[in-house]
Amino acid sequence: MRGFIVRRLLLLLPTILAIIFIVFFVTSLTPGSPGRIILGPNAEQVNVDAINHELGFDKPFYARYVDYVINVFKGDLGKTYFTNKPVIDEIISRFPVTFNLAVYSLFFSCIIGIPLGVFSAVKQYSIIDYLGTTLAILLAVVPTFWFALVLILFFSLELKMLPSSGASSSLHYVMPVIVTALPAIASILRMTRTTMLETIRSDYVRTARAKGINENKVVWYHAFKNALLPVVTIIGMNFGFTIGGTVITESIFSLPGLGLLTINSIRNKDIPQVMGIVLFFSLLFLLIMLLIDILYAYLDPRIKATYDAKEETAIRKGTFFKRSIRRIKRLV
Amino acid sequence: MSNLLEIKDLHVVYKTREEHVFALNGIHLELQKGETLGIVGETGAGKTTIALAVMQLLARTAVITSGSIQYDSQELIGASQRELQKVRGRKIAMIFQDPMTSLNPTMTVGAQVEEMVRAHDLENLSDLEIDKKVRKIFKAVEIHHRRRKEFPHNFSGGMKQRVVIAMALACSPELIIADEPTTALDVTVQSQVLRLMNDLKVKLNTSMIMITHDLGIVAKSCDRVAIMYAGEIVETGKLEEVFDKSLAHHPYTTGLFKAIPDLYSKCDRLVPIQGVASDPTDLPDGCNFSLRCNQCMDICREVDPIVNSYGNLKIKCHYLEQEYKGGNCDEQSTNRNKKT
Ligand SMILES: Nc1ncnc2c1ncn2[C@@H]1O[C@H](COP(=O)(O)OP(=O)(O)OP(=O)(O)O)[C@@H](O)[C@H]1O
Ligand SMILES: [Mg+2]
Repeated sequence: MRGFIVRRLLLLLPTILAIIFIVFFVTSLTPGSPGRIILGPNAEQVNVDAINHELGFDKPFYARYVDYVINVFKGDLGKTYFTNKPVIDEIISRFPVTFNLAVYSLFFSCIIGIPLGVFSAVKQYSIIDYLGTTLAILLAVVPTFWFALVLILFFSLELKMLPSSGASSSLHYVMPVIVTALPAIASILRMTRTTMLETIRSDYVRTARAKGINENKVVWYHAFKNALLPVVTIIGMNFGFTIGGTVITESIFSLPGLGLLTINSIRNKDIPQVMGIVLFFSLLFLLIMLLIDILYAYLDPRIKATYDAKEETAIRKGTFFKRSIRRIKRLV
Repeated sequence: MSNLLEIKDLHVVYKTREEHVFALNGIHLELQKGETLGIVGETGAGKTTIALAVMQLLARTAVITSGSIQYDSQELIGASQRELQKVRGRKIAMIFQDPMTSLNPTMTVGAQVEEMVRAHDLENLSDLEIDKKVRKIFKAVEIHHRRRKEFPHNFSGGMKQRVVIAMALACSPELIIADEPTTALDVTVQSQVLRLMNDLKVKLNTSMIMITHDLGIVAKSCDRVAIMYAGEIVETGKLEEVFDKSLAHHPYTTGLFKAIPDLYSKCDRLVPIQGVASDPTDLPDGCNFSLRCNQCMDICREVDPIVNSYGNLKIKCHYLEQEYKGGNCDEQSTNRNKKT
């Protein structure tokens, strides 16, 4: 298992290189040079060129790419064009807001979506089930921005209960969390219901019932544990979506998180900042996916077995490789 | 002696949107303490449905339209979850048909057996004692206790079946329902598992319902046999009598025996029963077997036959009824040598 994790971590490396390349390539297609963006359209060409030279923009593409990669691995994502602060510092200062938003909404969507999904499946075709599935469809089709505006109208303008912008207190998070949690609730509920319907009919759940154990134990310990795998995947993907989706939520509620930073940087053509954020999001997503794969192994012993088997073949191949080298050495 | 299990006039229908499957059409069964009853019938006859009805574990689509199932004078149909929990596992245990899918893939086999022990632990055993008990159960089914920590996917089909058996035996139930416990196994393992079950049965004096379509297994392990066809029991009786070719039998039973090779009499060719099993969604009027019966008469197509006693055999057939003038002839000798 440890070997599996190490191998997956090592595999992150080429993935990251590829991501950097794509990000770098796409942003380099945008018109304009950094000097022009920083100094504005009225600046002298000489000054523009000087800044371009200072930033290494006059070097060829591949050289800039290599420079960037080296810097990334040093932990340096460059400086923003506008505040001239390190990109990484901006990201780190903004991240907690986004992270809180994502974690809270995910937390609530799990504690609401999972039990609702389980109950819908256990009591299939009951009122709970119909309500649950209707709710899920409704939540899935209502657009986030519209719902956010309705909430602001109601809670901020009418009732004056909740602040509509900023992040200075936990009250500020209430509406953004609701808005991001709802679509996640919908997808988690539906996935839980579907997989539970499948497992609850399975033979081993019938075996569990035949043992005469408590029905709650049958549902949660036997059926739900086996239904958890796809649910965990959906939760992980929702975490990714939530973090990406904060772009909309944060700009509506003026939450100073990474989403808002993204929008502003794109507006300002602050290319290093945009690249930094994209890279950061990608890395986060990769890590979450890795985490899910590791979780898989803990949830399903069969998957763990395949991981371990792969590890074993890898080790066997390794010794084979070493043995061959030893043989070659002996010959030489 | 009172009956341990008594099933009366049980009707079960699987209702799906497209069709109604009449799986059980008036089952009568009795089982006494310590007795082993074999239920034989071809695929789709409703054997598993009987077992699941007794356990009250029928699929959601199944509807028990009428009948009663009494275990130790306790009605199981309509019993509350709590009552059923006390019966399942502790009093009646079931060995399911397919060992490949009947074990929880995310739990170690040891944990699954242990769960059964704990569920019916009336003496409040300590962890150590429970562990000892589980170890003993594994020993009884001849699996090394060290393999308890493994998951079902590491086990072969035969070993999984043993785990399923171990689970069923864990609380020394009074009745075991074994639904084709050996169909998934090869012949050598099959006889091992059967011997194992027989040993344990004798040791614990449990009653058993052995569901199978293998007459050889029935001959080896049963006291009484019920022959099933299309959701009905067409013939019941003592093992020796059902297997006795000199007695009169239901044409289906006769057909079954003709379709397996006989060691003692030479025959060139086995005779299969003509036609295919009746479609339980569309059963004929009259006798369900009438479409395939080689003794079929006009009355068979119109009127459902009733069960009559012929000696100790109980048979549901018009032909025998006519042949033996209303059936109820109690001297066995009159039956002998008339019809094979
Ligand atoms: N869940 C279900 N939904 C609909 N029909 C079902 C269901 N389970 C069983 N049936 C039908 O009920 C009839 C009896 O099935 P059952 O499983 O009791 O047969 P069986 O005698 O155990 O057969 P086998 O020897 O193949 O195990 C069959 O026609 C089958 O198609
Ligand atoms: Mg069956």
